[in-house]
Amino acid sequence: MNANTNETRLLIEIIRRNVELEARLIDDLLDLSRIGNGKLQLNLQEAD
Amino acid sequence: MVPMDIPAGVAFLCDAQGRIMTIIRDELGMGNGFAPERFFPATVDPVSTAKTLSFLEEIRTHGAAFNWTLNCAVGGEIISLHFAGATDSNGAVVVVGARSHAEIMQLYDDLMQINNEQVNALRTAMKEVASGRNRLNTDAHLYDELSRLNNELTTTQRELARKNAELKRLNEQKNQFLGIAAHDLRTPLGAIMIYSEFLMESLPDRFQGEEENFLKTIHSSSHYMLSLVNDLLDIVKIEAGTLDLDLEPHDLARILQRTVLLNRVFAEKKEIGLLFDDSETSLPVMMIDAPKIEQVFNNLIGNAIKFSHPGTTIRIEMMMRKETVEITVVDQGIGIPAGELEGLFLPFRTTSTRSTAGEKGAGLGLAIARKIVQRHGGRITVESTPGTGSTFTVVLPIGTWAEKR
Repeated sequence: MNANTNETRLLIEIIRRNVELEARLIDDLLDLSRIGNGKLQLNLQEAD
Repeated sequence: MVPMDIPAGVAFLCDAQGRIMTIIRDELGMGNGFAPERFFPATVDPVSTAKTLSFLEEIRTHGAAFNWTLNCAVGGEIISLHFAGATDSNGAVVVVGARSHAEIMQLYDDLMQINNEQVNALRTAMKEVASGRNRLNTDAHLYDELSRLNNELTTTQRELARKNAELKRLNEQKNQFLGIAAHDLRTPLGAIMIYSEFLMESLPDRFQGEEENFLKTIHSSSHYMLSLVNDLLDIVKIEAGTLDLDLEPHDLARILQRTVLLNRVFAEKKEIGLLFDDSETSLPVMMIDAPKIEQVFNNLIGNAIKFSHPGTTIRIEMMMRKETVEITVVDQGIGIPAGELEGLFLPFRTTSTRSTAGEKGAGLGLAIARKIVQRHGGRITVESTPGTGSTFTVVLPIGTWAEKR
């Protein structure tokens, strides 16, 4: 039972990582298309 | 002999080639051997010889020529003279020249008194353009304008060819990029799909109720997204011309049966009937790319389900023709407006119609389907009546395999 829970957690972790990767790829694509359209907006904030 | 108010000018008759026959008058004192039997183009200044030949050519082709400027030797110096000329029915040419175009007109008035066929011809020809002295000047302007436009056209053509090459290069780059992006997008999707599937199947007792639904949504969403990305890759292959077929002998009826079976699940969810008439048994084995043909009918049947209301029926029929097999997918769905039928098979083209249960699409399926059918040597057509339904017809040649056997 414990092994099952660990395995489940591991599998869900893999799914989560891949979802994040996919989302980042899509964000990059959207950024690229915004750059192509000249609509990339910067959100400038004070930072050290 | 010549009245004093008549402007100084030259008038002569020559043959079509420019050989001087009779000099009617010459108050200017044309030099450079200007005399009967001489060749007129040889008596003008050498810089104007070619132009004089063009002048004579224009008289030959158009019957008359006006307001040509030719450099001539007059009284020991080279001056520009204005010339006009016309031909008669015998091919003889009368030419008049003077220091200005106005003087030619006066000269012409004077020549009116000489009544012979050549002068009459010149008179008639001049009358035709008498509607405007302007036109005589306009001719030169028109010529300038035409050559300017011609130059512009040549430049534009060159520019166009350059732009075209540039566009072709950019399009190739776009396809390349699309291909790379789609490949990258596919990798995580594959992992999400496989692991969510594994979780659902191997550990069913772990997930119940809400959790099970979450997992199902993850799985179906990634599945849908993967199919979008795969369509994108197909379009890239089609545009790059690298959509290759893997032809093998197959029983088309079996492929259709399988496709219908797969789609029945989705049809039943919407309470739509899916009928496959497989009574046609004379179908020979055909050389086809089975997964791609399956993709075509998956798309057609899938579309039919998307755009049909519950309680209706979708019929799939297969008919043998002489050298082809004809498969129709007939639905009783919402139909497609006539104006949107033409672009239906173009990539990224979606219609104004709404699917009946909010199903989505990127507008790539039919473009891919058409290309696959075309690569098999077949064709795909559509007929539709809004409110009544659509019929998609796929015609595939059956010859290939039978001939090889």
